[in-house]
Amino acid sequence: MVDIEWPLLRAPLAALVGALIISTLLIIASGYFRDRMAEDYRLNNQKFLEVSRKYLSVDEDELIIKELYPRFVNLYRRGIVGEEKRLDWVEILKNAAATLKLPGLRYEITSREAHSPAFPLVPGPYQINTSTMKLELGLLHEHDLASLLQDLDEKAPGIYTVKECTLKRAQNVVAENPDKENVTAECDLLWFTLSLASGEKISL
Amino acid sequence: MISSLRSSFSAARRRALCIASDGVSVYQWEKGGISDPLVFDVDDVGLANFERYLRETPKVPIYLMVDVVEEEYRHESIPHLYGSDRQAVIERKQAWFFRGTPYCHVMMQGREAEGRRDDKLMFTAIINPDIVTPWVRLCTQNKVALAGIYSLPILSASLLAKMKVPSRNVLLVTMQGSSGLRQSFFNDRILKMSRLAKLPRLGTVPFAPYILGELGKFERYLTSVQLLKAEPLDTYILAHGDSLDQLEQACRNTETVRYHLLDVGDVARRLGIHGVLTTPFSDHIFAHLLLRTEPKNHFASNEERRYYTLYQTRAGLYAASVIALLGSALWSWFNLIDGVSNRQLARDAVQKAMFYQARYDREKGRLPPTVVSPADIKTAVDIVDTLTQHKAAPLSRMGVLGQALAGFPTLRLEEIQWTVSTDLQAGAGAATPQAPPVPDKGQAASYYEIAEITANVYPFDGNYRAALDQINRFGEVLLSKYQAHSVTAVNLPLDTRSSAQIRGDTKDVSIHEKAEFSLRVVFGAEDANG
Repeated sequence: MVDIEWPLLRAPLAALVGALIISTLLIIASGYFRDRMAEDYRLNNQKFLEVSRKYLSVDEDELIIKELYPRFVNLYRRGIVGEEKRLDWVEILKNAAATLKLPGLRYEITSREAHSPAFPLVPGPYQINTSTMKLELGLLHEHDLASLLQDLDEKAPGIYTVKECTLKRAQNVVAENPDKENVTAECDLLWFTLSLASGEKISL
Repeated sequence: MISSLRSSFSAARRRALCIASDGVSVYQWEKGGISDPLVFDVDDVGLANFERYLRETPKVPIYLMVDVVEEEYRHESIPHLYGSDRQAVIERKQAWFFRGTPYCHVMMQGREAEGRRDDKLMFTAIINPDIVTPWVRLCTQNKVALAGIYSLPILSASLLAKMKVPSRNVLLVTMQGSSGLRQSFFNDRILKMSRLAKLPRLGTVPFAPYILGELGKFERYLTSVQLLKAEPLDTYILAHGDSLDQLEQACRNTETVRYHLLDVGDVARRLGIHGVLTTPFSDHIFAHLLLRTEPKNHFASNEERRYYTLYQTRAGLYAASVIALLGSALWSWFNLIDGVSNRQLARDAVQKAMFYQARYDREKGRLPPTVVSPADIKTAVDIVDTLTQHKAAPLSRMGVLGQALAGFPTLRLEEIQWTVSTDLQAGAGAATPQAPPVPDKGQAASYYEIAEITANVYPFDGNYRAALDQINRFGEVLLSKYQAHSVTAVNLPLDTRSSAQIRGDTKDVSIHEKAEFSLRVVFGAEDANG
């Protein structure tokens, strides 16, 4: 076994350990300084790029405000952006049932919930929401359904799509009596609204 | 003398200890050259002084060089072996040639030209270890690093190389003040034999005849052992002053011997030795050569070199410390440069951001206030446009189905389940079709309108073939005339698939009033738009 004279090696070993500690501290400290400055630069540069982009897009913003802001206000008033107008929907349904003399109309509107469309859509800062309107109709003729949907299209504030609809023959012999149901229909309508994903309210 | 040594040796990094029969000299390497020697007598007083010297001076490594008569040479060929086998053969030979001395060295001198092509080796040893051992022991006792024990004749090969001697057979003749007349014979610059002769005090005998007489003896010896063959011998003699003058007058070239007389001072200058050498002796030259070239150890054992190994380890550790510090300092410097550069860039970015922010605020002041940013206004409008484009309603497809059914008065509609989906397989009846689907048109759509029709053949006369034919033709009309994407039978009046089971009774003559069936009709959204 090799007889190592540790006393002779003590000083250089201590020097090496000291040097390694100092080196490590130097590298860590300088690395921290470098990373910190790099992060500062990244953040400030990001701010600069953002503000310069905004500055360069002022003209475009002006054009958007001029052309699209009226539409945006209209969407807000129609209950597509912001809060939905459920009361208007109900009133229009009742009026349509009366006008069309529908033998039967039952409705149910579910609570609003977040929705992810199956087709590609860039939501930006918005959350897309839907409320499902379930309609159970007794119809004299299938065209009554068309008339009801047309009324909703023209008068109801909002935008919707028909998710599914079932029409069923109510009886074998067509009745001439307008109070009798010849066809029954069950339809689910999705009413869309946009709100800010951040939860902030949009109010004009 | 000793009291001033500490300051004198403080800058020394290595030193040469030259052992000869008449004295032991110590040279210190300072500032790229060597100092004048300290000389110790070869007796107990000299050893005591040397020990005091070692105690009182820094423990810088010692290169011990031996120039004594008791160095012997043997030439031997051994089989060409490797590793431990070769080492065993060499050790056996050394034990045989030089019994009782640990100071042995072997030099590979090429291979035989014929036969097994054995290795040609020259074995050399200091046959009287007592010449060296006391000095080495003192070094070890005082924990002074002994780099190695060297042979002056072997070292003189590097002197030939430095002098760029072109000759094949060379006899190098040097005089050392403390040892004598050293004659070393080289063939192709490889040491073959060396001899040390006594050198009388200068002026006590005719110098040149004495030297030439000793050379003659050695030449005859070389011829007798067949080391010197029928080629001329170039004899290089290093001397100075009167000795050189005497040799120049006495040396006469013959066919077999050519003399080359060199001034020790000239050789020293060529080797880069500082100062002027004014004696015919070459001790200084060899000490300089030893400390400058730092050759590999010749004779010292590992145990004797133990403190040198420790010294190297210490030096390595210190070097590693310095490298670590320098490396980290360099690395940190680059980090610092990066950091400072990024800090400056960050400050520039802040300035530029403030500049553009001020201009943006001023420009934005011109615009009317909006509840969301203009970009978000555009996003909202785009979303609503997209939702409007994908708005679906069942009426147009139901109208299409009504028109198609008008051409088939015997088919009576009971129920339509309409749905819209991006999934072609959506809908309740998709999972269990009872008949092979009518081939679809193979066009992909962004979304599909799917209608599951429940109907019946009415009136039904029990003719399943005619009923199925009606249903098939209805499906074909939907595909061809009304651009249905696909039409699949979910239920048929009679399931004719091979995998299905058919059960009936030919005696049963009752006929159902109607034959019920259901179809799954898929329309692509583009078809509707188109």
